[in-house]
Amino acid sequence: MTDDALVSVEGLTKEFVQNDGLLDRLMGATQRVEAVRDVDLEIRRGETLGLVGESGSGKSTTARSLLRLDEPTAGSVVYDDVELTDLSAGELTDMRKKMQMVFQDPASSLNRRKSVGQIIKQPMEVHGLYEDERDERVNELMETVGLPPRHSNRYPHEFSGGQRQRVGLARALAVEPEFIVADEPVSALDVSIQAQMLNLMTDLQEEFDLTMLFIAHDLSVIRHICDRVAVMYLGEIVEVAETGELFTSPQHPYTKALLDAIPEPEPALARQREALAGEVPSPIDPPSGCSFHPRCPDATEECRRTDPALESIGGASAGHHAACIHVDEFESHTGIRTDDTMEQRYSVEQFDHADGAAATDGGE
Amino acid sequence: MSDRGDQPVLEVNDLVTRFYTEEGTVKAVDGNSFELYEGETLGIVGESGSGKSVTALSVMRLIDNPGVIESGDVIYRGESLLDKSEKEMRQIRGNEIAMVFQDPMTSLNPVFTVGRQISRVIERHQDVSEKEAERRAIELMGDVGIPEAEARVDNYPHEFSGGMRQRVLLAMAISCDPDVLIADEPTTALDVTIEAQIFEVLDDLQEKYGMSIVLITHDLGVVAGTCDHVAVAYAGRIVERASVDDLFANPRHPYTRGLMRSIPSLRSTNDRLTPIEGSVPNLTELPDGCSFHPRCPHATDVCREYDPELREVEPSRLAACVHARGYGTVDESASADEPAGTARADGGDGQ
Repeated sequence: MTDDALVSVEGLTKEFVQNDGLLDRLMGATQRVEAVRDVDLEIRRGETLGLVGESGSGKSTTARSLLRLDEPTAGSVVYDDVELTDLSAGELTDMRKKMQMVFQDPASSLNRRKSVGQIIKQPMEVHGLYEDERDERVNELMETVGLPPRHSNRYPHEFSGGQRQRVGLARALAVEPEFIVADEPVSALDVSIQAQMLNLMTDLQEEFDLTMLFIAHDLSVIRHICDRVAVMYLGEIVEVAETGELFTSPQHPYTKALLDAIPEPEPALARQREALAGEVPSPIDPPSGCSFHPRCPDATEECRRTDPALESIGGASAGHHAACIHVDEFESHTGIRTDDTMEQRYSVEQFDHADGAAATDGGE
Repeated sequence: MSDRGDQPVLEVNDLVTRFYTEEGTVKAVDGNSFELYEGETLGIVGESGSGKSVTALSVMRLIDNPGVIESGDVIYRGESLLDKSEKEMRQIRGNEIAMVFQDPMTSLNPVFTVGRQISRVIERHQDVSEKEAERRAIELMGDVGIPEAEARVDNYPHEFSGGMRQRVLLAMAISCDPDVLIADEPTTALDVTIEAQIFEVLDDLQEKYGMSIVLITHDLGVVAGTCDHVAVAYAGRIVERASVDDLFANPRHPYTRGLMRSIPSLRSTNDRLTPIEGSVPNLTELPDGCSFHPRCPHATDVCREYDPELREVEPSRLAACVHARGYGTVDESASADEPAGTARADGGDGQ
């Protein structure tokens, strides 16, 4: 554990027990499903760590186990020198004011019968904070997230999806947390609103000095908001690196395949999109050896037998780890080439305006 | 867009669909026109509230109360679909024009096996024995890339993953060899890797069955990778139409440009995104003039008054913005409904 880690996770494992049939229960036949397997993770103070993977990769379960919203089966979670897994329920409630969560679907995570003012106030009431200044704080928080404070007595359904997500953020910030877990906070939003939300989250992080765990399935969103990224597959972390290096030089075949599958908004590139074959296998019956081997283009006989550990890569930046027996030496430029010309192409200045040749300055 | 062949398979002219709700009249589709040519994929792209799904449902005549197709026309192989009886439409749906929806779970019946659901569609539309229909169902499941189709034909929907269920829906849609497939956000609920697989399947099917496809999506990356032509919709209107290469090379409408700027690019080194300010207007109370003007960086006084129709701004390209080069002059005193001097551009080939 390095000095600047706020959260340090070691060997985190979460098993679910499946015995849904009456007969199963009578026979005592239970099926154990490991949704998260032996995850090590470090979240540094002030950073945004991205957690990315397909559905069923265990990213949400990792976050929930880390906060003890789901009780982890094994492993340790140290938050600012406190071992969370040892805490009593009361102690945990106290800790929770430092750790808040923002959810994917603002429609279902906000109480429909409460005004947004009441919703934002609730965490302050739960933790008994800001007793005489709660209304004032609600107004401040609404302004902070870009909502007009005069709307505090309106109900969630009177807001758009993007505005509801801002309410969710204001609620999370109400008790001045240090650590925010955001689980797919922008995936339900339209792209123009998503961009507003991502910029807002970046600003808030700076303003309030927040540490964030940001869960998303969309790698382009991750690219813009995260400092480091951990890629998950079937309950395990398969690669972790600084964001820039992960995108330009991914080392694990799964990370490469994920990047290849993204349709970029550029016809020549999007047509080269390559589909990764197969689907994420069921965690009830995970493949032997490396979980990814049945879908991996580079898999060999050994991959069927050996479960690879997450290890550092020779020649890569410090902290760049991958779990693949075929990754020894760092290979650069295996992924996305950076290119800012697209942004310039679509700029306001480049609009083909009636009043100017290529209307370099709007022509008004 | 006369370079696309002679006769479009499907033609939508000035389509207006409204919903009369307690909150007011929702102008869900407000005068949209487009053509779909043989073998091509036309993308209709837009955010929520753009009217893209209602456009698709209107083409299929699947608009229910309180919705009404007010005016305009939908022409399939030279015949108006709006003149057809409901009985005739039932023959056209599935046989001629098929549709795939977003959510594969709600579109499949949980109590029937997937094979039975596919073969029922075949039996309903074609004069074949049950045995033959089942044989066809297995063949179709193979076509859409469901492994071990023969064994899985007796599975129920819950035994399938999301991606496999979407393949089942595709198999049902193509079971009667339709000429036109309308796919409404067919991959939105799926992971990007599975989405890529589904589009590979669609591509193969298009080649094998020679279908023309209308793809409705919010995802510009999907548009870039799969469409030949694109219509961009905003607040119930198509605001720009172009070939996919032209559109991405130089979007001519400020909304299209704003959308492109908002996408977080994988390639960009800039952490800050450039969103479109504000939000999509309420379709019951659209702004005066151009619906996009409150969010547009180029808006001027004209935009607040004049509601721009789609016009040809350069060969084979249409845009609905008075400030787009090539748009021509507008009579600012004219009412928005009857712009003086220009007919509503209906594809540009007659102009």
